[in-house]
Amino acid sequence: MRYGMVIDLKRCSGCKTCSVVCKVANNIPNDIIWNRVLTEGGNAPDTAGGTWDNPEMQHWPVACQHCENPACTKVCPVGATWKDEQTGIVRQDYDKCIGCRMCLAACPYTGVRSFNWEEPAYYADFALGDADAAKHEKHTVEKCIFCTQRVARGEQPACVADCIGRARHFGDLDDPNSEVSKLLASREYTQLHAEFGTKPSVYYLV
Amino acid sequence: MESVQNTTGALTRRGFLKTTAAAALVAGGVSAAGFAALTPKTASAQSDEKICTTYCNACMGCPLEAVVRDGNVVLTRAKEIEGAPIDQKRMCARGASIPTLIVQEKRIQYPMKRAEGTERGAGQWERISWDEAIDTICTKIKEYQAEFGSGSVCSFTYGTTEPRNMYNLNRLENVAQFSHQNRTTDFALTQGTMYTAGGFYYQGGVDMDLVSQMSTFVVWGHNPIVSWPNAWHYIADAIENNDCKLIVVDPNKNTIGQKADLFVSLQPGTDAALALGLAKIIEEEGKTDDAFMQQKSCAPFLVKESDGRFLRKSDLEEGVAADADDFAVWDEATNAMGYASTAQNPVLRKKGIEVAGQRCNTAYSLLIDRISEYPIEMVSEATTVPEETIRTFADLLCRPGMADIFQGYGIDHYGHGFNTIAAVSVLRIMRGMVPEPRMSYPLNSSGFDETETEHPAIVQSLGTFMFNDLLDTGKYTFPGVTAHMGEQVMELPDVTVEQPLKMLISFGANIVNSAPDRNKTIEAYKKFDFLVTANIEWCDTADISDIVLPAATIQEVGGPIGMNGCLVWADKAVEPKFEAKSDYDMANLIGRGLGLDEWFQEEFDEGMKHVVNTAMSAAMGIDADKLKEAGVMYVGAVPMPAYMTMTGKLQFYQENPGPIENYGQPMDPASIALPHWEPPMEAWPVTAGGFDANPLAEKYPLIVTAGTRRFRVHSYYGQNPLLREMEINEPCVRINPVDAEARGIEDGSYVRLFNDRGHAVAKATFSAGIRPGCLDIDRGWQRSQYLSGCNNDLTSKQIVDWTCPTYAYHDCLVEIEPWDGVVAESQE
Amino acid sequence: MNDAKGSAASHRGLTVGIIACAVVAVIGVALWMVQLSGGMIQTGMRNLDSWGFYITLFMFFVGLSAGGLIISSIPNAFGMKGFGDISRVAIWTSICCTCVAIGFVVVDLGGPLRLWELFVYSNLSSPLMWDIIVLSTYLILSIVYLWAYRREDAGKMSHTAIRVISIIALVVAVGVHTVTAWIFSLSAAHEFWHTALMGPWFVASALDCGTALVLIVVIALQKAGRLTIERSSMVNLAKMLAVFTCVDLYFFACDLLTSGFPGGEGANVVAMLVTGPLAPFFWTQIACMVLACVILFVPRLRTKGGVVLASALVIAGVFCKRCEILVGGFQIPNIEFADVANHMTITNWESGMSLFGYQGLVYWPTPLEFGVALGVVALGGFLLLLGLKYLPLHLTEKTA
Repeated sequence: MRYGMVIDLKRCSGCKTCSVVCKVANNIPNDIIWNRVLTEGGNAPDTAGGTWDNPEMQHWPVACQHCENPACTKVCPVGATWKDEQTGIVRQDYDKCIGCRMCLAACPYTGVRSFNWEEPAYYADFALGDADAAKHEKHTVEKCIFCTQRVARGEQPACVADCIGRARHFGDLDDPNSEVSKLLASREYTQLHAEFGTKPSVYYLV
Repeated sequence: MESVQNTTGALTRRGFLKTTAAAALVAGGVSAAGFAALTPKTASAQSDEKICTTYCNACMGCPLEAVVRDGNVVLTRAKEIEGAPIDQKRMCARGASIPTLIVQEKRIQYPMKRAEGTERGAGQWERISWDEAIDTICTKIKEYQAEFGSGSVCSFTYGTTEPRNMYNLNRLENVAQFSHQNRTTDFALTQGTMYTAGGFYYQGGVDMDLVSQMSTFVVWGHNPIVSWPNAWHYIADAIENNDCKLIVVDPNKNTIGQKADLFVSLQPGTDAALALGLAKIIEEEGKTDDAFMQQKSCAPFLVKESDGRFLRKSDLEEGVAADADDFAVWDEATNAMGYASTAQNPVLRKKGIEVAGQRCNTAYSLLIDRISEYPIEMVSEATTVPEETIRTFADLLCRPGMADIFQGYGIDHYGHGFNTIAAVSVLRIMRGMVPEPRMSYPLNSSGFDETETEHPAIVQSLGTFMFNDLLDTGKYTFPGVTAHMGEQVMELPDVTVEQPLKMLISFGANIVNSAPDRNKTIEAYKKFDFLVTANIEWCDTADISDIVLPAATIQEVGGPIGMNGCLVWADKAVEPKFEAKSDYDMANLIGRGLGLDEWFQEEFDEGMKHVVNTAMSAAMGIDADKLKEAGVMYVGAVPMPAYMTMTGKLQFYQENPGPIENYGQPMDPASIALPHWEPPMEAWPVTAGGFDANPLAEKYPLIVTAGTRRFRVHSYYGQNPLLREMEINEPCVRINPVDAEARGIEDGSYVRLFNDRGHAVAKATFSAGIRPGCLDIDRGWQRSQYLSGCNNDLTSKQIVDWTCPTYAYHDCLVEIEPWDGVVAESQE
Repeated sequence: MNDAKGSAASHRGLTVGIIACAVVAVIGVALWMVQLSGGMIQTGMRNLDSWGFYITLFMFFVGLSAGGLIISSIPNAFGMKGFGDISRVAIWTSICCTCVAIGFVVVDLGGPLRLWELFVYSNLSSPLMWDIIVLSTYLILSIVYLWAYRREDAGKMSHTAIRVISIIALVVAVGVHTVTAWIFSLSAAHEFWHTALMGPWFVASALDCGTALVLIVVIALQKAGRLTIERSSMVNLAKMLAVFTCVDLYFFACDLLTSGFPGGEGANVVAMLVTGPLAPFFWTQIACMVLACVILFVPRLRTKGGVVLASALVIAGVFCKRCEILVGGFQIPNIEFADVANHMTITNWESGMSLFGYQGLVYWPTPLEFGVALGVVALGGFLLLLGLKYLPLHLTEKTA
């Protein structure tokens, strides 16, 4: 089985609810964002590019692409980032990471991986989110893990469960009857930087 | 079972190998293939957690679940709403950020008083006890009321958390006879939709069952993607499943504009001209829904030429009971006068009808006369929308299938806002768009249930625009007008309100930040002898107060809310942090401190029952206990027998409109009887549509509007660090690169916006979606978050239309220049 | 008498140098502790420029190290007339440089206490793992090489054995450079790095800057009267340096043309180097290398001073190139859509509003990084001087 995500760009309004629920559910340290919503257009979020005759703006939710052929897992010298063959999820072992940042350099998806450059700091003095969310560690790399802890319980990743636009879908890409497979069969889609041959498990409906 | 692996600090892949047996036990029946097969939309609680019902009070009262662990809200998520015919699950980034909102650094933690001997706003505070705070406040109230009258103490009772919780605050204001500070904001949309169609449509989650069915949907003058984010997916449903054409009318092409099939950019403040021009095209092309207008609108009503009022049965017959009154129409079936309720075929287009010695015209014929003043050439010139686009727009409005127009606060924020809302409503009525009469279930927030109405509850309503004069002279004078009632003309003299002001108690909101012309607001606030502010967080209003009270959040208080088809009774999920108290308890403490104990006997849970237990609830079989038990109840939009307008019909014609916010001002009802277009008072830099350009535009050529932003509601939520991570970390102003480059402004550089009222320093962000000649500055950053100035330093408190007084935030001219980093004038 | 005096002075000089290096190294270690305890947020590195000065210097010192070894091994391996007694010095220099290079990897790690995992959880598909293997092999081999010379001196080892070792060392040295290059070039994520030429190019750079370093050390030792070397060897070395430098430039030119000619992403890389934020480094490198070649090729300029200057210029040029490679790799993001930046994502984030729209250099080291780096280099200096003082490197010892 291979878990994947299908994101309908027509339905994404750039609200960043997914970014916030992701941060809360996984108790992500301050200033680390696993799940970004990027603006294609101007130089700042929610600004349009082009000219006034035809201003252009499109939001792109971007997190770890959980590649079938990940660049990161190959280069990690100790296997702290590894592909779970059972689920297709690219995972992170914080207590194993030596902090060499090979994976940051290897990942073609700019910005999806984060390093804890300092002792993780939080806005609350108690842990937010899922009780079984992974504990973050200083000087280790982290990223979207498809909310492994939730998926293991049979739940949806936080960003999917609370997507306002109902733009996100999650499921087994290997199962032709899954919602994600059906969407891919019926809609036109694109992938981020497919040219790198990473075979991302995140698809964007256009 | 090796598939159930979890990478946590406790259980890693490496650690897992040693704990396989334990994991297998824990995992029980989980499928062996990968993780468990996904069961969408379920969320479980961990064993040491409790799940509470709550809601987000940012805007739409979205029902949420709060996950509570060790006495803290650790997570919020959208609550599944059972019994709703459509997917009502909703929570945006603001709701998701509640866990950190509760514990944010900027929360007011304890009652504080301004340190002895320091200036207001100096930021020096001393912690005091609740007893001392309440004692000081009550002593002051008694002193001022004894010397200067009860109204010398003014209160702002919008509530620190949510309007529905202002129950006890209203009671305090009424019983103690404080004068009432009116926010004077957003009233054009409220009054405009109420008077024409009997209420709001499509705000937040309400009426969304209809949106998904639309074939044509118009979003006019706002950006629901940002201001009511949960509305978006219904629109997206319509587009995806129903091939709905989305039309967006806005000066700037922002996020909703990007999703539109037809985006119509117009000169700011010309919406009414565009709407009336479209109406003219639809009428001339014979595409009006006459049957709808005959049955559901005031179109066939006969309007007397003598006084401009509808001709009623009670005008023609003696002894007609009020509830049996009817409206005269001309019935083509009988070619004689008939009544609206019985006529077979009431005529719409007929003038000069003589009935019982009264010369009458149908209301619709009056409208036709009015819209004839808006030929497409003139409309195109005034709005700058090409004629071809206007025709395409008209064609799309007449597409087969369901259509409607979603109006918002963007077109409200003009002096003539009411006229704009009413003009857009004309299209809805002519095309039969307005759905059957319905109403989002309301809760009673008046502060009195039906048994208590004997208490005098009328207090003097004051707008902040009156404060400066009242504090200087104890008086405010409204200008007299010449009022027109049909052929009658009346001279109404000036009206002077006398009201000494000494003390202001603000419960919630952040008027200093959100009212226009902030420098004037501060000037006024500083003239009060005593300022008390209760708020959840430190804000511009709290900063300049004498006593500050810590208010509790919804999650710390709980209680009922009814919004957008859902009733919620929130649990008290956690204990109030620090020494925060609910609005309800604060009102009780002050009420009791003033010796008004008899009115403030009940504690929160008891008192809140009155809010739910209304006559309407009883009729629907709902009561507080049931709601409390259920947590969330879906009631949907309640069908009503008639539209909740003055006549029970859709009304493009107002025969005797009064303001919904009455300060005692004289006014000319004729000014809004039929919608018309007038350009903005200030933001009119062009000569077009028969109106000369405002010469001020030579000095200040750009129109600035403060659009809503995703991560705050006005200033609320704007200091929540979790949300601050999601946006640029300081106030920004969006500008078209063309305007920027003409002024030597670079993308991402600091700029100064200024006019005669003040200035604001912000970071310029280029966007080609901003209409050249316009600027879109952020809304809701606190003064302390600005390097200098504030967006509302630029805006004006001028009231244009006294039949519907509302602040014209968007009627504002400025110039913009690169900022050299020097604070141009001393900041308070 | 004079010689004795000079030698004593140089001895004293060495001792002072050793102590000075030790002090600086200790300060560096202390700063490293500061970095570890307070967090690497104190460096200029961030998520979008996740490697910095340390990895630049790692590349640089790997280059320096192997150059020396190759220079000393080629004559042995191919049975050519050697460069006199410089082989042992060159090997020792290589060992020190390798130690410095390894030191830079260690100070760059977030969790140095987890280094043991490299040996327990080795992921053999990782180029970093390969590099660790070849670097260790290389270090051990260099020590063996030096030990073999010692045995040879004692008459306990044949020159054939030395020759065998030198051949192996040569292969490993070339391997070290190539593998280090692969750390970068096997990552398809960075247009600038992803070129097959990166390996040969690293070898070329190693040869030129390694040779340059050997030349400087040799001339310095000669000046100090610790080493005698034939003028012809010097000239040969200098000519070799010029040729290597030309090859290095030639590779760069090939790569730039291949990148830039089709337009597209590659053209952005060329623009970044030639006119963009990395232009100062690029043009400094070109100027240094061209000037060095001129000095080395023109016999009249090939004086001792001229050769030292040219060598220094080559080293400076290669250092600039290392900076270009490292920072240049991060300078151009693959995803340029806008989002907000914060202090975890890019250095000096406050100056730019957008996550990916950064202007100017994406990275610049902090004083702490300079301090730690100085410490690591001082550690190398400490080893080098210690070796010069105590190891039998066949230096002329007149006062012994």
